[in-house]
Amino acid sequence: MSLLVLKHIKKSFSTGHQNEIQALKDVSFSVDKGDYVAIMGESGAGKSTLLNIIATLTHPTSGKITMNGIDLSHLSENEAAKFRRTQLGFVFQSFNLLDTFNNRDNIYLPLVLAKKSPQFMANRLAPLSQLLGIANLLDRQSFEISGGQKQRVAIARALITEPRLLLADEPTGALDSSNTEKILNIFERVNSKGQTILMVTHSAQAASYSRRTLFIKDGKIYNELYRGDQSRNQYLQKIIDSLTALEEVQ
Amino acid sequence: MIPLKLARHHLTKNKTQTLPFILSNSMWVMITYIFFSMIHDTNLKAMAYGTETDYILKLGLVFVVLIATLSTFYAERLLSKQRMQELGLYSILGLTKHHLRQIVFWENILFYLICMVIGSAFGFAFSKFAFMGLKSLIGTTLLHQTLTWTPLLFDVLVFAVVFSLIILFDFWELRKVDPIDLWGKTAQPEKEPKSHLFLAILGLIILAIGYYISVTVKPTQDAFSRFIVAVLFVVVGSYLVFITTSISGLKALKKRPKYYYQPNHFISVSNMLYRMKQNGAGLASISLLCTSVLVALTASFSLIAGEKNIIDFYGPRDVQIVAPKPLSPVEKQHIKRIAKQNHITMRAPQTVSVTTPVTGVLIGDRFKQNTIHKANYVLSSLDLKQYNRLQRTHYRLARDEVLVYVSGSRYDKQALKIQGKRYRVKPIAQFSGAFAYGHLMTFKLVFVVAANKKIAHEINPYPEIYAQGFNIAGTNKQQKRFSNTVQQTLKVASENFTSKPVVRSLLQAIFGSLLFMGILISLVMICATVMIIYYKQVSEGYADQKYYRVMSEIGLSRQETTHAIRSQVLTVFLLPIVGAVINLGFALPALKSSLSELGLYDSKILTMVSVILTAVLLVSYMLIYMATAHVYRHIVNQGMV
Ligand SMILES: Nc1ncnc2c1ncn2[C@@H]1O[C@H](COP(=O)(O)OP(=O)(O)O)[C@@H](O)[C@H]1O
Ligand SMILES: [Mg+2]
Repeated sequence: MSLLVLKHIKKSFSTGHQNEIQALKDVSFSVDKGDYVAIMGESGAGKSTLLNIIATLTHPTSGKITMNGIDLSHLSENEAAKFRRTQLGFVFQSFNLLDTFNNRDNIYLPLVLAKKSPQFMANRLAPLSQLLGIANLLDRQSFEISGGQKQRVAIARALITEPRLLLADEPTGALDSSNTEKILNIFERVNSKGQTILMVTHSAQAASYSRRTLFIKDGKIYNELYRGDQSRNQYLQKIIDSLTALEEVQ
Repeated sequence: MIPLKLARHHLTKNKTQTLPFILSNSMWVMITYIFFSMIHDTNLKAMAYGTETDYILKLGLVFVVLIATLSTFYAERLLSKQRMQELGLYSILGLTKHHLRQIVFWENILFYLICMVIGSAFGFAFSKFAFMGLKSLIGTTLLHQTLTWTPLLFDVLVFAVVFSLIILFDFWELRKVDPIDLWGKTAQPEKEPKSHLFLAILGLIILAIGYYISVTVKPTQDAFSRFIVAVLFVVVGSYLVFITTSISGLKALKKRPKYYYQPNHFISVSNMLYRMKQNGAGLASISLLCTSVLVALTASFSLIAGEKNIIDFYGPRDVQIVAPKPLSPVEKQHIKRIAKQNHITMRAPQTVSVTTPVTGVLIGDRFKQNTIHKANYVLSSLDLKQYNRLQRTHYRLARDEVLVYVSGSRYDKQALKIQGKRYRVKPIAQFSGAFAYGHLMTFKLVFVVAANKKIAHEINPYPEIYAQGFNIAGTNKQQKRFSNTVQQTLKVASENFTSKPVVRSLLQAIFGSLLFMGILISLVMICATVMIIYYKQVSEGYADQKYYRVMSEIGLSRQETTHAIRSQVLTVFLLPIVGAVINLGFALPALKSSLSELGLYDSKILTMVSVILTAVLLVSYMLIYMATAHVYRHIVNQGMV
């Protein structure tokens, strides 16, 4: 069953008087429950714009987007906020942890907003911090830990609400290769436990951990690859081939 | 020259940040110019009581320059993070530290020149108005103004010093950081503030002691010095409370999960911790500045409103001579002659003879004689016959009965014990012969009316004195000349001679210049407050950008985030005002005691004036806050998607 459905999504930004940038031209696809979808494209292809629309942080210019049957394109600001709070988890390239909280409180933040008890939050956090290997970092401030550790804290914050959909925008973009691998392994693991993930990336290596990869260029989806039963290396090779082919499209 | 160009670029590009800086500094240049002009370009010193007025104005000048400098530094500090980031970018692009210093230098030179030109131009234009205002407040026609270049020269010099300090400060900021992490200075987060429990409690104690002293100050002669001690305690206490007590309190809240992990508390407690760390000292300063302005304005307005009460306290008649015996016929002739020479008509002569007042204290219903430094009452006695004649009353008294009059209040005890005897008391509200013996304004006057002279002397055994007075009519100038000539001719010591026209001129000169200064200083304060609030909005906006972004991802609508964060920003803005109002509340008792030294006993005037001033301050503060809030919103929205 499709969790997320996008139909003919268009998004344009007006810059200046007459100029208009069409960031997304006509994007349609759907994401099934339990899926792990990577969206690939070069810088400026419209990936973040697409993610922001799914995240209800911006509205599409036209087109229809539904999640779990709810029409997202016409939510009011308050409804959208409630939707994000209850249904979505976010992971970003720049971590976006708040300096005014320690790591534990950064992770607790969405649950506190949902008015959960301290006991409930502690119970949720315990297995998660084991899984992410951050149990000994919880009482430190967010700026006292490394980038890879920050990203794992950010993932804990995204997952602690048990969201229907985890959105990630270049989650490994600011990390070195060993931390990148750690994060991607974590994504793979939580996906295998049933977490639906939608990840935007320009790294073929990152995409090769997904079950399915969409290629976006100039605001349109050009191609789609399924991993199926392939090994990661075979899948990675196919992704690289597609990217090369995509570069030749004018 | 590249640095000069970059400096100019900075000035013109960041108009929203440079314009308020220029406006407020020009304002200070202008007001300083006006002060200098009033002191230097007028014959103020040559006026009667000109030395006092001159002194008051100089005091005001120092205060203005101090406020101007401090708030400029505070604003600089608020913006320095953003500024250092920009300069860091230049340094990454290849400018050396020497270049950066040049940029900062030229920037401040340009600021200085612009502010000097605008400020002096307006100062020049407004000094004429200010002069007319001062003249009418002091109430003299003899004051002249001759415009010279000297005020401008002083003004230029004073602000050259101020801006040199700013340049040095900026250089120092530049030195502190390595060019490499200059770039990251904004990104570098601050550590969670530490709790200093000892200092926190100490702060509360010191503040409480200050308040206690202020509340318990007795209107004796050392009221003013005790008031100063209280001020010192409150200043130290305020800084400690704003800096440490607030943080310790918040940390204690944070340690209680049940409280802390609630949506509103969670965000506000954690945010306030950082805000108080960054702003504690600044907030304490604003609070103390607001307090001092409230106190100064309350005092000067109260004095002006109570001027008549003060003058009447000196005695019942326009001119009064106190002497150990009645005026001789020769002396009366002299007075008549001098009155004629000065075209003065005399009316309503009155003579009251009372026993020489003694200083002391009232303990319950017992009057205990005491040395002048430990006393707050002066007591003298008279006989019933005089009282009934003066007041046109028909009281009768038994031998153990007295009438008791206390200035400014009512004697509410059943009895009075004095000189080892007990008298039954009939309180009276009126005594038209009351006068402040020896111009002792600090004391409450007690007059005890006894059945006859013999008993009056049992109550107060000191020799009788005669207070002889009359009202006069004529022009103000004639009245003053008459008074002075009488005093000189009869060789009356100044503490035994009272002339209300003379007193009135003195008070008008002092209170008028106090109020004039109060108004100018309030202008400076308002300007400083506007500037600080504006720059605080800017810096808070930058600090909160990321917050809004993250909160919206986590699922808080912009309104909810605004609600959560704005309430703290508002708290941060309101704290100093609340602090100032509390300070004023505790200062009032001491203020009352100190003002009574000048003869102002009417506490209703004081209360009313302070309530009105507080309301005005609150309203204008909130207006300023709301007028500048859009800057904050604009910056925060820039950070959104
Ligand atoms: N707020 C905006 N205003 C104007 N143009 C925008 C805005 N956001 C994105 N764009 C433009 O839309 C295009 C797609 O941007 P984005 O989605 O950020 O790309 P990607 O994330 O793939 O690098 C780019 O050309 C970008 O300049
Ligand atoms: Mg992007």
